[in-house]
Amino acid sequence: MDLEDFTVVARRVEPLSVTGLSPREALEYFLADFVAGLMDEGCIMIGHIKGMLSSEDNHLFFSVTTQDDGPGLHGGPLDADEQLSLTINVIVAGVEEEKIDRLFEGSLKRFFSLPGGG
Amino acid sequence: MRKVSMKLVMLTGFLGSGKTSILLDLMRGLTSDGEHRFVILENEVGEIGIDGPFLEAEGLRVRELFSGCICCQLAADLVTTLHEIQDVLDPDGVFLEASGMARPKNILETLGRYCKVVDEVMVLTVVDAARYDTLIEAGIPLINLQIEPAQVVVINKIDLVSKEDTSKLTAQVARMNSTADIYQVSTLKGTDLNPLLERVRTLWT
Repeated sequence: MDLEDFTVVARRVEPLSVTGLSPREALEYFLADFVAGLMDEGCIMIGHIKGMLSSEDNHLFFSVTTQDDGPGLHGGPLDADEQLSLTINVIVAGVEEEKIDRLFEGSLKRFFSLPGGG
Repeated sequence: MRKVSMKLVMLTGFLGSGKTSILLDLMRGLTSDGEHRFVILENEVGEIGIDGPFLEAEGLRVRELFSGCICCQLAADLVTTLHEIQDVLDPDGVFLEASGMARPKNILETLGRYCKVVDEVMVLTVVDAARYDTLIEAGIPLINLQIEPAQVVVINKIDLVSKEDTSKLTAQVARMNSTADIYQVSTLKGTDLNPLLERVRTLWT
Protein backbone atom coordinates (compact mmCIF):
# COMPACT_ATOMS: atom_id res chain seq x y z
CA MET A 1 0.00 0.00 0.00
CA ASP A 2 1.25 3.45 -0.85
CA LEU A 3 0.25 6.89 0.41
CA GLU A 4 -1.34 7.54 -2.97
CA ASP A 5 -3.89 4.85 -2.08
CA PHE A 6 -5.38 7.11 0.57
CA THR A 7 -8.29 9.40 -0.25
CA VAL A 8 -8.44 12.70 1.61
CA VAL A 9 -11.83 14.35 2.00
CA ALA A 10 -12.70 17.37 4.12
CA ARG A 11 -16.25 18.60 4.68
CA ARG A 12 -17.97 21.19 6.80
CA VAL A 13 -21.76 21.12 7.24
CA GLU A 14 -23.89 23.72 9.00
CA PRO A 15 -26.36 24.36 10.40
CA LEU A 16 -27.23 21.03 11.99
CA SER A 17 -29.49 20.12 14.86
CA VAL A 18 -30.36 16.97 16.78
CA THR A 19 -33.71 15.58 17.84
CA GLY A 20 -34.21 12.99 20.56
CA LEU A 21 -30.49 12.47 21.10
CA SER A 22 -27.78 14.49 22.75
CA PRO A 23 -25.23 15.97 20.32
CA ARG A 24 -22.62 13.60 21.74
CA GLU A 25 -24.85 10.56 21.17
CA ALA A 26 -25.74 11.71 17.67
CA LEU A 27 -22.05 12.14 16.89
CA GLU A 28 -21.17 8.68 18.22
CA TYR A 29 -23.98 7.02 16.23
CA PHE A 30 -23.08 8.99 13.13
CA LEU A 31 -19.42 7.96 13.33
CA ALA A 32 -20.22 4.29 13.95
CA ASP A 33 -22.61 4.29 10.98
CA PHE A 34 -20.23 6.17 8.70
CA VAL A 35 -17.25 3.95 9.55
CA ALA A 36 -19.34 0.77 9.11
CA GLY A 37 -20.39 2.08 5.69
CA LEU A 38 -16.77 2.73 4.73
CA MET A 39 -15.78 -0.80 5.71
CA ASP A 40 -18.72 -2.24 3.71
CA GLU A 41 -17.52 -0.27 0.69
CA GLY A 42 -14.08 -1.89 0.86
CA CYS A 43 -12.08 0.42 3.08
CA ILE A 44 -8.68 -1.23 3.48
CA MET A 45 -7.47 1.09 6.18
CA ILE A 46 -8.66 4.06 8.17
CA GLY A 47 -5.76 6.51 8.14
CA HIS A 48 -7.55 8.98 10.39
CA ILE A 49 -11.05 10.35 10.63
CA LYS A 50 -11.11 13.42 12.81
CA GLY A 51 -13.12 16.52 13.23
CA MET A 52 -15.31 18.56 15.50
CA LEU A 53 -18.95 19.08 16.25
CA SER A 54 -19.27 22.72 17.20
CA SER A 55 -21.74 25.13 18.69
CA GLU A 56 -21.17 28.86 18.84
CA ASP A 57 -19.17 28.56 22.06
CA ASN A 58 -17.89 25.03 22.23
CA HIS A 59 -16.33 22.16 20.31
CA LEU A 60 -16.57 18.41 20.73
CA PHE A 61 -13.52 16.94 18.97
CA PHE A 62 -13.43 13.38 17.69
CA SER A 63 -10.83 10.99 16.35
CA VAL A 64 -11.25 7.54 14.82
CA THR A 65 -8.49 5.18 13.67
CA THR A 66 -10.21 1.80 13.84
CA GLN A 67 -13.70 0.41 13.47
CA ASP A 68 -13.29 -1.75 16.57
CA ASP A 69 -12.85 0.96 19.16
CA GLY A 70 -15.25 3.84 19.62
CA PRO A 71 -14.16 7.35 18.72
CA GLY A 72 -11.86 9.33 20.97
CA LEU A 73 -13.87 12.33 22.14
CA HIS A 74 -12.60 15.49 23.78
CA GLY A 75 -14.28 18.74 24.70
CA GLY A 76 -17.88 19.83 24.79
CA PRO A 77 -20.44 19.81 26.27
CA LEU A 78 -22.91 20.83 23.57
CA ASP A 79 -26.58 21.51 24.28
CA ALA A 80 -29.24 19.68 22.27
CA ASP A 81 -31.07 22.92 21.48
CA GLU A 82 -28.01 24.64 19.99
CA GLN A 83 -27.39 25.05 16.31
CA LEU A 84 -24.37 22.95 15.39
CA SER A 85 -21.77 22.56 12.67
CA LEU A 86 -19.79 19.47 11.78
CA THR A 87 -16.26 19.63 10.40
CA ILE A 88 -14.60 16.41 9.33
CA ASN A 89 -11.36 15.27 7.72
CA VAL A 90 -11.44 11.76 6.32
CA ILE A 91 -8.27 9.95 5.26
CA VAL A 92 -8.96 6.36 4.25
CA ALA A 93 -7.58 3.82 1.81
CA GLY A 94 -9.71 1.83 -0.58
CA VAL A 95 -12.76 4.06 -0.97
CA GLU A 96 -13.24 6.74 -3.61
CA GLU A 97 -14.22 10.31 -2.82
CA GLU A 98 -17.69 9.98 -4.38
CA LYS A 99 -18.51 6.99 -2.20
CA ILE A 100 -17.16 8.71 0.90
CA ASP A 101 -19.40 11.69 0.15
CA ARG A 102 -22.46 9.50 -0.34
CA LEU A 103 -21.83 7.59 2.88
CA PHE A 104 -21.13 10.77 4.80
CA GLU A 105 -24.37 12.40 3.67
CA GLY A 106 -26.39 9.27 4.36
CA SER A 107 -25.02 8.85 7.89
CA LEU A 108 -25.39 12.53 8.61
CA LYS A 109 -29.08 12.52 7.66
CA ARG A 110 -29.75 9.51 9.85
CA PHE A 111 -28.63 11.20 13.06
CA PHE A 112 -28.80 14.95 12.45
CA SER A 113 -31.43 17.28 11.08
CA LEU A 114 -30.34 19.44 8.19
CA PRO A 115 -32.08 22.51 6.81
CA GLY A 116 -34.76 21.64 4.26
CA GLY A 117 -35.89 18.54 6.13
CA GLY A 118 -32.78 16.46 5.44
CA MET B 1 20.14 41.40 11.25
CA ARG B 2 17.81 38.47 11.82
CA LYS B 3 18.16 36.79 15.20
CA VAL B 4 18.90 33.07 15.04
CA SER B 5 17.69 31.51 18.22
CA MET B 6 14.57 29.49 17.62
CA LYS B 7 14.54 25.87 18.63
CA LEU B 8 12.15 23.56 16.89
CA VAL B 9 10.60 20.27 17.92
CA MET B 10 9.26 18.41 14.92
CA LEU B 11 6.53 15.93 15.81
CA THR B 12 6.11 13.26 13.21
CA GLY B 13 4.30 9.94 13.14
CA PHE B 14 1.69 8.23 11.04
CA LEU B 15 -1.95 9.31 10.86
CA GLY B 16 -3.76 8.83 14.13
CA SER B 17 -0.69 7.91 16.17
CA GLY B 18 -1.47 10.55 18.80
CA LYS B 19 0.84 13.44 17.83
CA THR B 20 -1.64 16.15 18.79
CA SER B 21 -2.40 14.55 22.16
CA ILE B 22 1.30 14.29 22.97
CA LEU B 23 1.83 17.85 21.82
CA LEU B 24 -0.92 19.03 24.14
CA ASP B 25 0.60 17.14 27.08
CA LEU B 26 4.04 18.57 26.33
CA MET B 27 2.68 22.10 26.08
CA ARG B 28 0.87 21.80 29.41
CA GLY B 29 4.12 20.68 31.06
CA LEU B 30 6.46 23.10 29.35
CA THR B 31 4.38 26.23 29.81
CA SER B 32 3.38 25.60 33.41
CA ASP B 33 6.24 27.72 34.80
CA GLY B 34 5.53 30.61 32.42
CA GLU B 35 9.24 30.91 31.56
CA HIS B 36 9.09 30.03 27.89
CA ARG B 37 6.86 31.10 25.04
CA PHE B 38 6.04 28.59 22.36
CA VAL B 39 4.21 28.65 19.07
CA ILE B 40 2.67 25.59 17.51
CA LEU B 41 2.72 25.13 13.76
CA GLU B 42 0.15 22.63 12.58
CA ASN B 43 0.26 20.87 9.24
CA GLU B 44 -2.64 18.79 7.96
CA VAL B 45 -3.24 17.26 4.56
CA GLY B 46 -6.98 17.86 4.78
CA GLU B 47 -8.47 21.04 3.36
CA ILE B 48 -9.81 22.06 6.76
CA GLY B 49 -7.67 22.33 9.87
CA ILE B 50 -8.94 20.41 12.90
CA ASP B 51 -5.93 20.26 15.21
CA GLY B 52 -5.48 24.04 15.17
CA PRO B 53 -8.89 24.76 16.73
CA PHE B 54 -8.35 21.81 19.10
CA LEU B 55 -5.12 23.29 20.46
CA GLU B 56 -6.42 26.86 20.42
CA ALA B 57 -9.32 25.69 22.57
CA GLU B 58 -6.63 24.82 25.14
CA GLY B 59 -5.31 28.38 25.03
CA LEU B 60 -2.26 27.70 22.86
CA ARG B 61 -0.88 29.87 20.06
CA VAL B 62 -1.24 28.05 16.78
CA ARG B 63 -0.44 28.72 13.14
CA GLU B 64 -1.80 26.36 10.51
CA LEU B 65 -0.64 25.03 7.19
CA PHE B 66 -3.22 22.73 5.71
CA SER B 67 -4.38 21.30 2.41
CA GLY B 68 -1.01 19.71 1.73
CA CYS B 69 2.10 18.27 3.29
CA ILE B 70 5.07 20.38 4.41
CA CYS B 71 7.54 17.73 3.29
CA CYS B 72 6.58 18.35 -0.33
CA GLN B 73 3.76 20.65 -1.55
CA LEU B 74 3.99 23.17 1.28
CA ALA B 75 7.76 23.24 1.85
CA ALA B 76 8.03 26.89 0.76
CA ASP B 77 5.08 27.86 2.96
CA LEU B 78 6.81 26.21 5.90
CA VAL B 79 9.92 28.35 5.47
CA THR B 80 7.91 31.55 5.02
CA THR B 81 5.76 30.81 8.05
CA LEU B 82 8.74 30.04 10.30
CA HIS B 83 10.42 33.32 9.31
CA GLU B 84 7.17 35.15 10.00
CA ILE B 85 6.82 33.46 13.40
CA GLN B 86 10.34 34.52 14.30
CA ASP B 87 9.82 38.10 13.10
CA VAL B 88 6.41 38.68 14.62
CA LEU B 89 6.21 36.45 17.69
CA ASP B 90 9.86 35.75 18.52
CA PRO B 91 9.11 32.64 20.60
CA ASP B 92 11.63 30.50 22.47
CA GLY B 93 10.52 27.53 20.50
CA VAL B 94 8.26 26.18 17.81
CA PHE B 95 6.50 22.84 17.94
CA LEU B 96 5.90 21.75 14.39
CA GLU B 97 3.32 18.99 14.04
CA ALA B 98 3.87 17.46 10.64
CA SER B 99 1.06 15.75 8.81
CA GLY B 100 0.80 12.01 9.33
CA MET B 101 2.00 11.51 5.77
CA ALA B 102 5.17 13.58 6.09
CA ARG B 103 8.69 12.33 5.54
CA PRO B 104 10.78 14.01 8.25
CA LYS B 105 14.04 13.78 6.28
CA ASN B 106 12.52 16.01 3.57
CA ILE B 107 11.49 18.56 6.19
CA LEU B 108 14.95 18.49 7.76
CA GLU B 109 16.47 19.17 4.33
CA THR B 110 14.15 22.12 3.80
CA LEU B 111 14.95 23.55 7.22
CA GLY B 112 18.68 23.04 6.77
CA ARG B 113 18.82 24.69 3.37
CA TYR B 114 16.35 27.54 3.62
CA CYS B 115 15.37 28.23 7.19
CA LYS B 116 18.14 30.07 8.98
CA VAL B 117 15.98 31.23 11.89
CA VAL B 118 15.98 27.74 13.40
CA ASP B 119 19.21 26.82 15.15
CA GLU B 120 18.33 23.45 16.63
CA VAL B 121 15.83 20.75 15.69
CA MET B 122 14.63 17.79 17.71
CA VAL B 123 12.74 15.16 15.73
CA LEU B 124 10.17 13.43 17.92
CA THR B 125 8.39 10.54 16.24
CA VAL B 126 5.21 9.06 17.63
CA VAL B 127 4.56 5.36 16.99
CA ASP B 128 1.12 3.84 17.43
CA ALA B 129 1.72 0.67 19.45
CA ALA B 130 -1.75 -0.63 18.64
CA ARG B 131 -1.42 -0.26 14.88
CA TYR B 132 2.30 -0.67 14.17
CA ASP B 133 2.10 -4.29 13.01
CA THR B 134 -0.98 -3.61 10.88
CA LEU B 135 0.69 -0.67 9.17
CA ILE B 136 3.88 -2.61 8.51
CA GLU B 137 1.89 -5.58 7.20
CA ALA B 138 0.01 -3.20 4.92
CA GLY B 139 3.39 -2.27 3.45
CA ILE B 140 3.57 1.37 4.41
CA PRO B 141 7.33 2.09 4.41
CA LEU B 142 6.70 5.61 5.69
CA ILE B 143 6.34 4.23 9.22
CA ASN B 144 10.00 3.28 9.36
CA LEU B 145 11.10 6.40 7.45
CA GLN B 146 9.52 8.42 10.25
CA ILE B 147 11.40 6.49 12.95
CA GLU B 148 14.87 6.55 11.38
CA PRO B 149 15.80 10.25 11.74
CA ALA B 150 14.28 10.75 15.21
CA GLN B 151 16.19 11.78 18.32
CA VAL B 152 13.15 10.82 20.37
CA VAL B 153 10.66 8.05 19.64
CA VAL B 154 7.46 7.91 21.63
CA ILE B 155 5.61 4.60 21.58
CA ASN B 156 2.06 5.69 22.32
CA LYS B 157 -1.14 3.79 23.20
CA ILE B 158 0.67 1.21 25.33
CA ASP B 159 -2.59 0.81 27.25
CA LEU B 160 -3.98 -1.01 24.19
CA VAL B 161 -1.25 -3.66 23.92
CA SER B 162 0.42 -6.16 26.24
CA LYS B 163 3.69 -5.43 28.04
CA GLU B 164 5.34 -8.12 25.91
CA ASP B 165 4.20 -6.47 22.70
CA THR B 166 5.39 -3.08 23.95
CA SER B 167 8.81 -4.53 24.75
CA LYS B 168 8.97 -6.24 21.37
CA LEU B 169 8.10 -3.01 19.56
CA THR B 170 10.61 -1.05 21.64
CA ALA B 171 13.35 -3.48 20.65
CA GLN B 172 12.29 -3.25 17.02
CA VAL B 173 12.43 0.55 17.10
CA ALA B 174 15.84 0.42 18.79
CA ARG B 175 17.15 -1.79 15.99
CA MET B 176 15.92 0.73 13.42
CA ASN B 177 17.30 3.74 15.25
CA SER B 178 19.95 2.88 17.82
CA THR B 179 20.62 6.48 18.87
CA ALA B 180 17.07 7.57 19.66
CA ASP B 181 15.74 7.84 23.19
CA ILE B 182 12.61 5.70 23.33
CA TYR B 183 9.66 6.38 25.62
CA GLN B 184 6.57 4.26 26.18
CA VAL B 185 3.49 6.26 27.02
CA SER B 186 -0.27 6.32 27.00
CA THR B 187 -1.64 9.79 26.42
CA LEU B 188 -5.13 8.46 27.04
CA LYS B 189 -4.23 7.20 30.52
CA GLY B 190 -1.64 9.90 31.14
CA THR B 191 0.97 7.32 32.07
CA ASP B 192 4.73 7.81 32.02
CA LEU B 193 4.75 11.24 30.40
CA ASN B 194 7.18 12.98 32.78
CA PRO B 195 10.42 11.39 31.49
CA LEU B 196 9.42 12.43 27.96
CA LEU B 197 8.65 15.94 29.13
CA GLU B 198 12.05 16.21 30.81
CA ARG B 199 13.78 14.96 27.65
CA VAL B 200 12.08 17.62 25.53
CA ARG B 201 12.82 20.26 28.14
CA THR B 202 16.56 19.65 27.68
CA LEU B 203 16.30 21.60 24.44
CA TRP B 204 15.87 24.80 26.52
CA THR B 205 18.36 24.09 29.30
